[in-house]
Amino acid sequence: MDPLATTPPTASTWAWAWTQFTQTVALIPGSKIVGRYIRNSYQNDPFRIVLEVCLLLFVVWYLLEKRYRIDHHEIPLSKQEVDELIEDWKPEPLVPALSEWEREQMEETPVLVSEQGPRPRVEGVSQPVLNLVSYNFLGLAGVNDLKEHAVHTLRKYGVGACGPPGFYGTLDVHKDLEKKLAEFIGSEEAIIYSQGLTTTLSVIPCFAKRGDILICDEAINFSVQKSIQISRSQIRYFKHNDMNDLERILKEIEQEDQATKRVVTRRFIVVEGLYVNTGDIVPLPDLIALKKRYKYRLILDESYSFGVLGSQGRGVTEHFQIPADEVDLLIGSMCNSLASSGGFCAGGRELMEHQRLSGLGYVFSASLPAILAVYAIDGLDILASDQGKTVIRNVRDVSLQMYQGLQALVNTGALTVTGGNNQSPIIHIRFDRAWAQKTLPLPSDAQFPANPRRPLPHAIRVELEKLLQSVVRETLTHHVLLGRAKYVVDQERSVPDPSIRICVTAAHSKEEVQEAAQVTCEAFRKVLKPYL
Amino acid sequence: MKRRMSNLASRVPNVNKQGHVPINPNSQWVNNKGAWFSHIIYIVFLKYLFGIIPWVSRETSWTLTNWTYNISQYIMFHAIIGTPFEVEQGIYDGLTMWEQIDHGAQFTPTKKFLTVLPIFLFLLSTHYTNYDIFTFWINLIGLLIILVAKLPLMHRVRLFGINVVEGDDEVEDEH
Repeated sequence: MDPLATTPPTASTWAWAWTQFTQTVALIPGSKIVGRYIRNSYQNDPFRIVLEVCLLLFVVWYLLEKRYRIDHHEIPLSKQEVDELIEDWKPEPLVPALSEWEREQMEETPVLVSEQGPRPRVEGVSQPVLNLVSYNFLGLAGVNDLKEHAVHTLRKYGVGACGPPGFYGTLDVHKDLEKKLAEFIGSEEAIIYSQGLTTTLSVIPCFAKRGDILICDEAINFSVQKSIQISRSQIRYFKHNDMNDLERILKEIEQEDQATKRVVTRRFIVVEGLYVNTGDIVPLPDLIALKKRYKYRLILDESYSFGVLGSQGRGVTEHFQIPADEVDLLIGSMCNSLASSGGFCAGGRELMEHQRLSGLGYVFSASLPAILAVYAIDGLDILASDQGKTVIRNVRDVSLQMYQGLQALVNTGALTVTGGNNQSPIIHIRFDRAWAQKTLPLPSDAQFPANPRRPLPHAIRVELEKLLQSVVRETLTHHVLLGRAKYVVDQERSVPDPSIRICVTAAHSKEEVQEAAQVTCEAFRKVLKPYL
Repeated sequence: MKRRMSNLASRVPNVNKQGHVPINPNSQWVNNKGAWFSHIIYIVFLKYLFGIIPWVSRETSWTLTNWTYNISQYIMFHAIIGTPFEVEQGIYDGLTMWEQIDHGAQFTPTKKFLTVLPIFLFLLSTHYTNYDIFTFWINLIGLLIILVAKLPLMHRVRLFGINVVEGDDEVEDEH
C-alpha cells in the first residue's frame, strides 16, 4: 500500500495521526509479526501487561544509570572553589626546618670511629668509652672467634641471599638456624625473618585480621604498636602489667559476646617479655592462667628478653619455669642479645607453616644473609653451652650492680630507676613527675596531666630532655657513653616519659659498671644542683 | 581565606581510602565476557534439561528454569559471604559476592548484565508459556527476590539477620 495515496484526515487529527503511525510502522519489515504478537500477548490481562512494562522500564532505567560508588562521598567543588584552594595552598618544605633543640640533638649524636662493641671510640673523645647504650647484652658483638667464623662464611656464601626464602633465598644455614632456635626454645618449630623490628609487623597481621580482637599492654614497644595497627583488628589496651585490668577487659568482651551472640573470632593477648620502654617483666604465670580461662591465644614479644632472662637465656618462659609451648606465638629478635640481625617466631608447626605462605615479611623480603645467620647460630651455641650460663649470670650481676649504684639517685627523690633489680639489663632513669612539677622551672603554659598514665605535653618533655642530655654530655667527658631513650613522638600511642636508658652487658666488669654508676650519679648531681 | 580552605579541606575525603583499590581475585573473574556468556549457556542448558524430562509441561519446564537460575544467582551472588583469598587484612570478609564485584561500585557493566538477564529470562518464559497466569506469579516472586537484593539501596544492608557478621566494624582506639 502506498502511504502517499491515503485520504486526508476527516474525523479528527488524532485518528489521522494514529493511521499515519500504524501505516508507517507497517512499512518496517517484520512489523506485522510484532503487531500480531503484541495483540496476542495482551490476553485480556492489562495488569500483567503493566507489570511487564514496568519491568522493561526498570531495565531501561538500570541500563542508563551511571556508575557510582556508595561509600565515596565526593564533594562537588566549583571551579572557583578549586582555584581558591589551589591559590591557598602553600607547599610544605620537603625537609622541615629543625627547631633549636632538634639541631642540638643532631649535633650531639655520638659518632663511633671504631667498631661496635662494649668499649668503642667516639668522635671527639680521646679514650675509648664505656658503651651503655647498645642492646649487646651478652657482649657477643665483635667477639674474635665469631668474627673469624663469620668471615669464613662470607667467603663461602657471599654477601646476600638475593631472594625471598620461598624463592631461592633459603640456604642450609637458615634451616640450621631454625632448627637450633626451635630446639633451644623448646618449641615445635621456628621460622626466621630477615629483619628484627619488622618481625612482629609480619607475624601479627598474618594471624589477626579485620574483626579479630587484640588485647595489648599499654607499654608495648613501637614495633608491636604498629603491627597491631596494620592488622586492622579491634584493639583494646590494658594498664601496664595490671592483670586485674586485663581481666576486666576480658570480662567486658565476654559480656559483649553474650549480649550480641556474635560469632567468636580469633582473639589474642599481646605482651612483651621484657618491656624495653619500662624495664620490667610480664607476669607470665598469671597471664597464662587468664588466657586459658578466657580462651585467648598469647603473642609474646621476646625481642629484648630472649638471651637475657632465664638461667640459660631462653627468655621469659624459662624465667618463670613455664614450657614454651604454653605461648602460642613467641616472637624474638636476633638483633639484640645475639648481636646478629633478623628475628624469629617460634610455636606450633601449623602456625609456622602458615607464615611461610602468609607472613608478608617472610614471603616478600630477601632472606637473612648467611653471615648473619651463622653469627646467630654461633651465638646460640654459646648460649646453650655452660658458658652461656656464666654469661647470663654476669649480665644479672652487673645489672644489679648498676641498679644498686644508682640508688643514690633514687634517694634524692628527684628520680626513679626501673629495671636492674629484676634481672633486666635495661634500666631507665626518669624524673619523678611530682618532683619535677614542684621543683623544676618549667614553662608555665604547659600543664602536667592529671592522669599519671597520660603522656607529658611537648614543652615539658623538651625541658626534661634537655636536662637529661646535659647528664649524657657530662658522663661522656668521663668516658661513659649514655643515651636517652628516643621515640617517634607523634607516632607512639602514648609516649613514655623522657629517660636515660642504660643497657649493661656481660662484657662489662663489675668495677667498670660501679664506676659508671658513680659517674652517672655525679653527673646528675651536677646538673640538678640548683634544684636539689 | 585561610579558614575557608581548612574548612573545605576537612570535607575532602581521605585520598588514600579512595585511591587505593586492592585487587580481589574472588570477584575479578565475574567481569570477564566469558563469564557473562556462561550465564546464557547455563540457562540454555537448564531449559534443555527440564525440557527433555517426559511428562513435564512447557510451563513447568520454564518455571523450573527460571527458579533454578534465580536460586543459582542467589547462592552465588547473595548468599555466600567473604572471599577465600587474603585481601587487605580481610576487607571483603562479611560481604557478598555482589557487594564485592567492582569493589562495591554500582551500575557497572557486569552488574547491569546480571540484573537485566533474569528479567529477560522472566519475560521470555512468560511469553513462551502462553501467558499462564499461575506460572507468571510464581516466577515473578523468584525474580523480585533477586532484584531487590541487587538494588543499590541494599548495598551492605542486611535484612532478617541474613549474612550478618558481628564485630566487623572497625573500632577506633580510644586514646
